[in-house]
Amino acid sequence: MELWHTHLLREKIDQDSLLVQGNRACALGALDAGVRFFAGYPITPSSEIMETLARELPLVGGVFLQMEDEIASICACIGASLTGEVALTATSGPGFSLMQEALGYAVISEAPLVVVNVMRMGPSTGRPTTPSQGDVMQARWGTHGDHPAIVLAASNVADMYRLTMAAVRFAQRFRTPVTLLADEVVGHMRESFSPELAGRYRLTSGDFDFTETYIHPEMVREVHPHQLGALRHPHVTGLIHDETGFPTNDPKKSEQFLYELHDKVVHHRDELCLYDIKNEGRGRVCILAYGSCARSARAALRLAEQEGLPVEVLHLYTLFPLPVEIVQKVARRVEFMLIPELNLGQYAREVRKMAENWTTVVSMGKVDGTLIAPQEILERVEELVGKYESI
Amino acid sequence: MDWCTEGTPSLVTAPVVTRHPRALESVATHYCPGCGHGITQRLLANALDELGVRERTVGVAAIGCSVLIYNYLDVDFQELPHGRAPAGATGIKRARPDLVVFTYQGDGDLAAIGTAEIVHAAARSENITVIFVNNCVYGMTGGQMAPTTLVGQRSETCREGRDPKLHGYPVRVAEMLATLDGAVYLERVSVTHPENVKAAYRAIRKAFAYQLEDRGFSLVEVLSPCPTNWGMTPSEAVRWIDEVVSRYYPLGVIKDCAPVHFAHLLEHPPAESPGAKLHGFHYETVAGPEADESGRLTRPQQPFGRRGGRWTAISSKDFQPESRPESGSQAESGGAAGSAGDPTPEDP
Repeated sequence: MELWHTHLLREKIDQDSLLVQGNRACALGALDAGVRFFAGYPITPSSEIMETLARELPLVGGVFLQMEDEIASICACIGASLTGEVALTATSGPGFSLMQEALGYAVISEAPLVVVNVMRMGPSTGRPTTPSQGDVMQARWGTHGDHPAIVLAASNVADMYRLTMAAVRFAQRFRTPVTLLADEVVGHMRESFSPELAGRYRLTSGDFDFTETYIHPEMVREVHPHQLGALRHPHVTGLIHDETGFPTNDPKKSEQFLYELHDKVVHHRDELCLYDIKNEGRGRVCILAYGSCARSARAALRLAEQEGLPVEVLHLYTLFPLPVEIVQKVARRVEFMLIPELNLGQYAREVRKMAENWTTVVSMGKVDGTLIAPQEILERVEELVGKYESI
Repeated sequence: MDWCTEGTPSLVTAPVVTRHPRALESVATHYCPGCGHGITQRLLANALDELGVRERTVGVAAIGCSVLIYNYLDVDFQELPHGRAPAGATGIKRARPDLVVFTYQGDGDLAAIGTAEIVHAAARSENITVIFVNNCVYGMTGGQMAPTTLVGQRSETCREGRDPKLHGYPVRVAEMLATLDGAVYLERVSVTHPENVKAAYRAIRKAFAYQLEDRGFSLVEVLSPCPTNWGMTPSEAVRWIDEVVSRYYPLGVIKDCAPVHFAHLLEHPPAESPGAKLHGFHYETVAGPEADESGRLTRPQQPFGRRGGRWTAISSKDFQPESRPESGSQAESGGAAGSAGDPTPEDP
């Protein structure tokens, strides 16, 4: 697989691995995935994605645009996407809020699009250079109306590269916007990186074949029925529409349309829900984590192993659609599910919905702007296991 | 249907159009009686046909009555969230420069919620054409005050007339955009009388011709009657445009210039270039009839709203629905809405 076609990396191909920043890895992943259109607006802590693409996109014949705000950015991406271009935009919390209306438009008009949200502490301007995972439920329910959502979460630099490629692939395959969540730490940290270093992603149906994430040029060239400028005279609208593309007020057709929007995502959970399990089947406590907290969870697992504590780690890369199968499978065999996250328990509520019939879901939220340390997770695990022993 | 048959000079010279435009669907519009959208869309369709670009045209519609254009124009269409059409058009045009891209927006959409998008599309000199239908009111939502509602004009949300102390002043979009170097062609037209409709057609055709020549951003502002929300009969609405609205929003070419290039500024730093103190460039603002290249037949007298080079607010109280003036330049054109298709005698 020839992924190293970008100008930047080609210069350094001799090296075994590179010290790459997370945001930069995201931009490289976008280039390797075939993204040729970027429109954005500068915002900390995601600006490096934009800066890298401003340099790199013209070199591969792409279009880079700096727009007047995030609303126009995502709208320009949608316009480009509807002409068949692979489009991506990157932002952070405040910009993500501005994008919500158009994100809903992309859902209903089935425009493939990737939005990278490098989360910072909120609400509002918040603390721009501190990590947070406060936009998780916004990524799911931010835009109005019933809609499906595909939301991925990156936990390290390699993830930023590979999940960006996966996001582009999912967006093209399911013709819907895909949100890639990272946080300030993941976006700004530098790690040694090469595609081979990344951990494996698992699906309930087996391993995720990463080599397939490369968007083959022929796949992009394929003309979609509602592609603009392809002599098909489509009509693309944000109104509820029928198969002709024109608006309809027919109750049956409207219902069918909304169900189809949902089903195309929810019925493909086996293709979408990426995860990884460490210490599988050997834990009484499962640490369910995503994003930068998953790094702490993996470190906590090593500490717990030294102490002989029965812990396993379920690392989710896909937050939505909800990975119901794997969460329930794990929930059936563990006593506690501990969810460390940099918010007030947003995803823990989702896990509770899925797993509370079989296990005790314990939320471990932290919103002081610092990361959750492995030691903190370990202490909480010890507490839970102790509780278990005393019962 | 010979209202565009007279010979016109320069790039807008084109053959006679006497048949139903291919780009226009053969359906009756469901716009209100006396609405200007139908005429404007017909002109748009004619222009696309005449330039032979229908197959590679993408329209971007806005929210409001203007969105209903999808029923009537047989071109690729995309509709975007309220006010965002210029941003979407930017994406389409940048991704596929070979396409002819236009937006079709109303005044609430373009001048209120979409102000940022239109200003920056013009500032970037996106090579797109904007058809801006200005009827001084929010039409589809039922006649609320728009940013273009005239001082003194009544609407659902200013029942006693727009009060500048409370609601501020109307926005002259074309004049506002004229200050931007990226905007290369701005003209205000109306669709009230055959002469004005002809001028509107020439403006729209010219705007598309400019896009085909890669000149940059062009906008045609169309003053359009909205009898339903103005509470008038169609003929009253037409007269109100002629006598009041076009005084505040004067018809004619606001700006028509070649793209402004700044390369010379970069080559010659401001210290060495005396012209740089005066921005280092100039553009031509065409205001007088002598500069009118499109050969339009009538032009309103020098805009009433402009006195001594400064804008003054015009109140709609000047408008007297009962006492219709029978003398003066406006009276001689005396047609009614919907007369766009009528043959008009040509002034030699």
